[in-house]
Amino acid sequence: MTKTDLTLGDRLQARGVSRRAFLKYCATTASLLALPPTMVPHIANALESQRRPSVIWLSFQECTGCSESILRSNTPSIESMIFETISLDYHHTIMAASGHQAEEARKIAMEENWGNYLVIVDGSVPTGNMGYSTTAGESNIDTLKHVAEGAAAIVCMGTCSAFGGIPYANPNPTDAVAVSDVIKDKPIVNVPGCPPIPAVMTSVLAHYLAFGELPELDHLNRPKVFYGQNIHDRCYRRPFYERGQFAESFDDEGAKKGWCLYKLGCKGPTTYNACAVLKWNEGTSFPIEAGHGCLGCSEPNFWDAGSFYNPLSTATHLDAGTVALAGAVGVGVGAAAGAAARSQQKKIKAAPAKAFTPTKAEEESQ
Amino acid sequence: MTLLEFARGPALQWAAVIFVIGMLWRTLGLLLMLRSRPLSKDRKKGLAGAGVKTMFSRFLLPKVFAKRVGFQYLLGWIWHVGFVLTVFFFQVHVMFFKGLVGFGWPALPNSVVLPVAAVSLGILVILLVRRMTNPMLRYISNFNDYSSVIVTILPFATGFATFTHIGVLPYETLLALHFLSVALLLVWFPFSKLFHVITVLPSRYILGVKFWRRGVEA
Amino acid sequence: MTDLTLKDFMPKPETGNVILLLNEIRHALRHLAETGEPTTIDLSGIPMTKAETEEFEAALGTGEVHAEIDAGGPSEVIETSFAGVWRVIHRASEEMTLARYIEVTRIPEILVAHPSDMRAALTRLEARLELSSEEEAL
Repeated sequence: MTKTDLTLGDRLQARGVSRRAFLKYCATTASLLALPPTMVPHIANALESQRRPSVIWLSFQECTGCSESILRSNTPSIESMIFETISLDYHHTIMAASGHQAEEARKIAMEENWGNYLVIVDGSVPTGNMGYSTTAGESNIDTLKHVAEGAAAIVCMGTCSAFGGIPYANPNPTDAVAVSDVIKDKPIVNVPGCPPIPAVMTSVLAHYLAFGELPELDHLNRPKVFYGQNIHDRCYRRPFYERGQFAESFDDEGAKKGWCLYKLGCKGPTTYNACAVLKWNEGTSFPIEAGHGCLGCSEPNFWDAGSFYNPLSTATHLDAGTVALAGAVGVGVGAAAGAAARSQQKKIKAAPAKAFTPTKAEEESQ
Repeated sequence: MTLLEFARGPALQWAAVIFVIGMLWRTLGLLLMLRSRPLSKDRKKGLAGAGVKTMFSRFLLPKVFAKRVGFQYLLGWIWHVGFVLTVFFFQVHVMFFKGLVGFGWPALPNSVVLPVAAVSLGILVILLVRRMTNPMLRYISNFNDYSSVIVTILPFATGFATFTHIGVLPYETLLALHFLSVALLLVWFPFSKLFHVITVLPSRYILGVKFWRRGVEA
Repeated sequence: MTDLTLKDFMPKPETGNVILLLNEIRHALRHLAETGEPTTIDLSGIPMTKAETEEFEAALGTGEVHAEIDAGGPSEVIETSFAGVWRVIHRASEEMTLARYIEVTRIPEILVAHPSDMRAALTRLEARLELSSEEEAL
């Protein structure tokens, strides 16, 4: 029996992970994915009999924060169990092999599992000068196209691979794009966030492994179950918003009393993510609970959507200077219009008065 | 670019530019026009003061017409006060102006502004229905009247929907629609009857002077 | 403006889910008694205020069995005052609750020893005995 022939059940057994811990993981996953409890045995059976599908993790223009988030999820974690389920055959940051051996491992994994492997991407893809980001002499876009060809599905971990993220932000010097801008013929699930919540990342993988398909997605290809509600709707500070009680600065009375952070630029109302429910750092808190507004990091173009500290109700392109300029133009146009009207009036006055001559219609009506 | 990014950004920017240019253009254009000199003799002295008096006397309900136009007067007053309070003293709107001009001012609590806005919106709808059903009003109304009322109703309706999250649309779409409806109002404002904000007092003055010159105590 | 703090707003208005949930448990318990078929209810999908959660837990009460499980973090299984109705709480750590279930069953699955675990245990025990008999022989 080779390494990949072992089922997850066998592997867990070998690692001394008890059946109880595994069942607990399945129950938690079902609850996270909002699946009915009757699905727990199904998930358990499906995962248990999994023969470690090959996963290739591609890192492009990224900061490794997404990898950090998923790898450092509370250890020894229930979430880290997902790594027992998959065969992570290629990942720059954590694989032991390096150089040619690493690339060789990827090649072998692709050949052996052509058409069946899962591709995870973090980071955006530069389309400008190919020298901006390469791996083993191959440009990111070529690697992506090549690896995606034999993939069963692609999971975009983080805002950069899902929507372009920070590399895509104005002025986008590398002409970065999202994975979905390059790959059009494969199922893609976006798991945005900067970084995404660890449990969200692992649950999406668990769903794919247990059911052989991606969870239900929204119009931005995000799993509905985690990205179906905005932060604002689930925020514990929401009652203060309703009453119009806002913190005006980060250290005033309102801030100390935990009032709404809308005035300080919170993007909760337009950000769809599960932070307010699942929270961060092993359920400790989430940004708004820590006293800072939501940046909207899981939304497309969050970096260019105006200042993080400007309320959503303000205009982004409009300022006093624009209004003043428009005012100057308005005065000019008005003066010209007035002058034109005056000269027209004078012309009419100067013309000799004409006797009234009724038109044909007026004659007929009389 | 999402709908909200467009609404908060270029849409509002261009609408404001058109608004400012339009308002100044029309105001200056009208001011600079030549006025015809009266050919008859004045029947009264101090016409300027009389004109100013007319400007303000018409804010009050004339007793003789009390029964006939009282309803309209009352609703008109409540609506205009409600409009100013809602636009300039709602918390979130004060934030908007602060973002624009760099300074803010005290806002009214939501518990005051929301009922005021609701009443204002209700009055606008009542006045629109009245205009459509009253035969006399219908006869003298044209596209300019209907469109101006509807364009004014839209920001109120979308604003309410945004604040209360009523409706099937997500918050960002509602907020974007609110911004867009305001942009529409700004663009429509200088070129429609909404321009009365500028012309109402000068035209009352001119009318007052004309009447008083002829000995009519208006 | 009055001095309001966070606590004045929590709990929010009631959801009214406590009575619905208790009725659901009643049906599940009757079903269990009559047919022996278990039911599981995921509490994370049922919104309740903090006060309602307390009311719900008080209504169920505590029964004779209270088990703590140390498997991938501390989990807890509590029999309610109604035999056959269990509260199952999965945690990653003391503070972080992962999932909360109501199980209406004879015994929650998580408590039962599983054949694969038993086989592994047997292997371990046998190895241990072999080792000690070897030591004895020396």
